[in-house]
Amino acid sequence: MRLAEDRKQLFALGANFLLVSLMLTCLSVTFVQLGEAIFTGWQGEYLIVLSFFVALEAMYSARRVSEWNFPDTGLLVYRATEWVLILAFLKISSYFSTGLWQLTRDLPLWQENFGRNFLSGEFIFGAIVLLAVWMFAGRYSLDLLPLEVNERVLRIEWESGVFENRPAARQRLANQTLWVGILMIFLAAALRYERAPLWFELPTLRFGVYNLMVYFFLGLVFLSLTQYSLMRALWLMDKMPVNTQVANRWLVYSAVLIGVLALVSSVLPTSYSLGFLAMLNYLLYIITAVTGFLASALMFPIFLLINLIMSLFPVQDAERLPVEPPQPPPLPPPAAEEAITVPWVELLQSIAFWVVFLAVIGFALYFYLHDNEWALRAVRRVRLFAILANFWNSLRQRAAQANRELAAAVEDSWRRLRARIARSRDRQNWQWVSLRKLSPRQQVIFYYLALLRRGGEHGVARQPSQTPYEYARTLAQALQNASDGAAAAKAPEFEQDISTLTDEFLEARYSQHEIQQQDAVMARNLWQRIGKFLRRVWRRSESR
Amino acid sequence: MGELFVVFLFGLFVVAILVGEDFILTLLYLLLGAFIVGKWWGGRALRGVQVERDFTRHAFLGESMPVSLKVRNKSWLPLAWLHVRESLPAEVYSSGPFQQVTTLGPQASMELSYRLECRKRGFYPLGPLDLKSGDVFGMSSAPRMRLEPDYLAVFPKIIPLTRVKLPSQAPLGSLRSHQPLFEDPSRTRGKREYVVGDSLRRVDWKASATVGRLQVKLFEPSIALETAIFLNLNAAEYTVFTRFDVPELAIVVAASLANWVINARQSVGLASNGVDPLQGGEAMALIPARRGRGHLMRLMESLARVQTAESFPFVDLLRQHSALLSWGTTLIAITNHIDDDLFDALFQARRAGLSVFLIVCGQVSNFEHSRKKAAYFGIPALQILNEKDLDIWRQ
Repeated sequence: MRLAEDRKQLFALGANFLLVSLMLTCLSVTFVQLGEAIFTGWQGEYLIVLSFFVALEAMYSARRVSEWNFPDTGLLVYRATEWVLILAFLKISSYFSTGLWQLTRDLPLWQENFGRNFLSGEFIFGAIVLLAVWMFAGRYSLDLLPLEVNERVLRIEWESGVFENRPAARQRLANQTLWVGILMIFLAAALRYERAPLWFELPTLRFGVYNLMVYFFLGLVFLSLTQYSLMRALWLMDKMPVNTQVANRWLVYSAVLIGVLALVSSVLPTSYSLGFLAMLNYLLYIITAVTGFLASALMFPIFLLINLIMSLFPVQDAERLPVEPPQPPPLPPPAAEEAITVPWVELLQSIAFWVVFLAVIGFALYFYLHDNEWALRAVRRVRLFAILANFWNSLRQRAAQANRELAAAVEDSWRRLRARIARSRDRQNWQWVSLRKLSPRQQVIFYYLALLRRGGEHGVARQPSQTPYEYARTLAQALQNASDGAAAAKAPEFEQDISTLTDEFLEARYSQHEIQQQDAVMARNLWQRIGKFLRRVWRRSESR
Repeated sequence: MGELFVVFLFGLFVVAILVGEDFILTLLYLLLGAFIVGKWWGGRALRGVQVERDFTRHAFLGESMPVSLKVRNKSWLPLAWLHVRESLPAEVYSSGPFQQVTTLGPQASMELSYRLECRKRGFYPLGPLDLKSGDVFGMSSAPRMRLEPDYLAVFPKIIPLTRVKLPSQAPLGSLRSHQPLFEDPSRTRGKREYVVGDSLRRVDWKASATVGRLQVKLFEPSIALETAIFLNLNAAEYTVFTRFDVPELAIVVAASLANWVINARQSVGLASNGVDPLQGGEAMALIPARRGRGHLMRLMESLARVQTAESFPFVDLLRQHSALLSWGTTLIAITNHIDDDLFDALFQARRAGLSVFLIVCGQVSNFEHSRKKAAYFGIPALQILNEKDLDIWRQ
């Protein structure tokens, strides 16, 4: 039951949106005629089609952003992106009208003078037309909203006690329809005033009449539907059971009535009344002239009085500012040296322009699609876009893979470079260490680090996880393995030395008390003995 | 919308004059046509509509009664929408007013129906029925039509009584009596031997000739029970606690007694100081004693309508109307308020030859004392606290 109700409501919503869009498309026809009268040679038919879609989009967007307040950033971004896209489509559509070759000619000109070449007069006129259509459509959409009633909405209203003023909303819709009609009639009449003799020779002008007829025909259908929506809302609010036939009969009676009216009005004669209208026109002219004469006659004494009063305060000649004689036109400035343009600067400027331009369009498109998931889904359903999307995804995956590989290579190179730099820096640091300037604590640590470095150079580097004692055992074991003969006999002794040096290091590194100079001397002696032993052992092992 | 549309049409006409273009005239025809048809349709939509309300005008308590609304469009102008709204009292239709939105073609008719649940005695207006319709453009304000209300009387509860013992002094009625004083010569119940002193008018000559001895007729004693029920519905004579339930109980007692009297083929009348909404809130008119089912219906409708209200005292009602009753009539006074004035009025009625019976409905303080006092004046008194107490007349 609810599903059927929702479907009906969706159908009504779609019908209203479609009607309004078609009505505003009729309005755009009048605007296009106006534009064609202003811009000689301009073909603005594309604007009619675009107006239809802009009206639909504006109605949807008005609903979409209706919950946002004006200063909301989301609203501003949404509106900005919406308009960037509308303008982009406007520009693209204009090139479909003139031919795409024109686009190839115009593209280079945009970066030269964007304001003049991109924002042409026709483009601005088109933007104004779309703005008008967009505004009207948004207004229609918001006024239609209170008339779309279901039980859920009514329950909220009952619970909150705040009710929409639906008759007022419907009144606004009717008024707006009439005002747009008035605007169209005045524009059409103004356009036609000068060309009345050519009336039957200009088929486009006839077309202009048909759009008015269509507009009012659709307007009557729209009024009928909104009246039904209003009545239905009021009935639902009063919890009245409504016969299911009411909606169908309403549509049938409306269609028959409007059809009959259209038929009758189209067959009723009009030509004979032109003489009558001319007579009324003449009568109106006489009335206007008489009214103007009477007004002048009434105002004459007042003007005369004012003139007399003003004559009492004559303006002295001396007070008048002397009129400066006309100055000769200034000499043109000396021709500046032609700016030396470097080709790569031009290229850079061009790239920057197009990057910014495309980025704005791209961002607007992305944001709009991101904000309107239905549009994204609809775009995805188009086969061509699906192929393009797949292609784009594979490109992106490959780029990501290449990026990862490149990043890994760069990271590896960078690590090796850093290691090399670190080693060279270490060497430099070692070369620059002055033992006499170090404290006893630092000297002890220095000798232990020298032990580590020497061990590392001969393949027994300390692992980060190893404690000093563990490393001491590892080093002793390595010496044991590497030594032979007399050296092997002395290995335990040096093992003890390593252990003692490790103790000294731990004391210097972690204790709080002061380290004496004797400790530093002892560490130095230990290191010298260990060093000699290590050199001898490893030299022999290398010679083997 | 109409005003703006008129302005718009006028503006269109001016433009047509200034420009002199025929297309504007075509537009003018279209929109003027829509405006005129819309207005005309809206204005005439309900002119050809006829509505009838069909229902039984009285119902018994607890009965479920259908009401049908027959709507007929006699004109050729269809009704795109028709809003039907019938105002109904909550006592008989608990789900608010009956309303329906429907559509009616040319020369078409339809029937809408709803059911009333008669849960409470009363006299209820059904309606008014409001009809609304309009055009499809909303050019005109929706015209309305109203069908005035009809009234439904829901009778009070009637408890069937079988053994009511009401005092009567009216002879020659149709009710048996044990008083030989009221022997009815039209009711022969047997014969016996003549004894000295018997009236010769009682001698049955045919039987005497047959038997060869003088036989006299024996007549059955009978009384006529002409009854007048006096019902106190003066709100001032009820307490706050008894004002709502006890008058209803009193009405049930009155209706049950009236029903019994009529069933006994006797005549019964009714007088009350309650108000009758059918008489513009005035006190109920006296219904003189009559016999028959038709009279019972009249009594029931009056008891259905009558309402408790701030009215004149019950004693005044008794004094005003008891003087008009014929000798021997049984006067039944049903009230909740007992005082010396009441006893005085009842005693005067008794002295005037009426058989007076006092029924006290609901709780009163020290009824036993009042009963004794009534007995002192020779007036039987009975207290009825609820409908179950009427069982004493059903056994």
